[in-house]
Amino acid sequence: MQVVARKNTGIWAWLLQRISAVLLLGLLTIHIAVLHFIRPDGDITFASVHVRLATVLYMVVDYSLLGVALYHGLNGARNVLLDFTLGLRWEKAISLVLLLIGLVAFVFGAGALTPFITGTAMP
Amino acid sequence: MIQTEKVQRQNLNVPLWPLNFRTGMWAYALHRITGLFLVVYLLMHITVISSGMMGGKSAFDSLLGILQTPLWVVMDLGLVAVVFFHALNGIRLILFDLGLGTNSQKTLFWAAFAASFIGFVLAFIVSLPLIFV
Repeated sequence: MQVVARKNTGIWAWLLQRISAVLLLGLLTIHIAVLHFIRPDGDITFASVHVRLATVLYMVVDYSLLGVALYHGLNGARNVLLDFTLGLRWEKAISLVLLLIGLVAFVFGAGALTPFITGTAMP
Repeated sequence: MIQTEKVQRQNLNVPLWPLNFRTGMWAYALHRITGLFLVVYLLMHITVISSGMMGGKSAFDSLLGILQTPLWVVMDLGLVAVVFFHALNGIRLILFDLGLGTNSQKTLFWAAFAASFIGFVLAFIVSLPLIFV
């Protein structure tokens, strides 16, 4: 007999998965539409992105998109993996690894976004 | 104190491909497969853009220049198709969670599938100028 944890913490993950899904519907639409349609005549370059991203609205949208997408995706992957009843230790390990991946990816992404806001980067 | 319960270990002799793979099972499988693909894509996307940024402005500009060539536009189109399906099927799932439409699950799946196909066609039409520059 396997021992599996049964605490009511699953309810938040379940709810946040749906909430993040709805948020992503809006955020992703904006992201794809902006990248495709609202380009100045030229292509996407550092300069053109800097012009947009220096405004508060785009900062909010882009950082939120990063965090919400990472949460929704990694939580979804966690759901798929936890459906294999592997036992408590595996469940904890999987959750921890996915959490770490999410944090590292968020730091990388935020680090990539910040130069667009400050405008400073190596030439 | 965490409540624990003992569960029966999963019988590992079950067939991985059940015989009764009908519409609902396909919907479930496709939603999960597209979801996993999108997670992998997301992590790749963050890595590629971050590493472009770390090289400075000119590295970023040249990376973005490459990513806007026709080959990558076509690959972006594929990505958009996957996103459309996952999003529309996801909306269907949230409807079921709210108790709406549970009597027409198959119809709604095909509607979502058709809508995502239409979305893909529209995206393709919009992207044509970028592919045939």
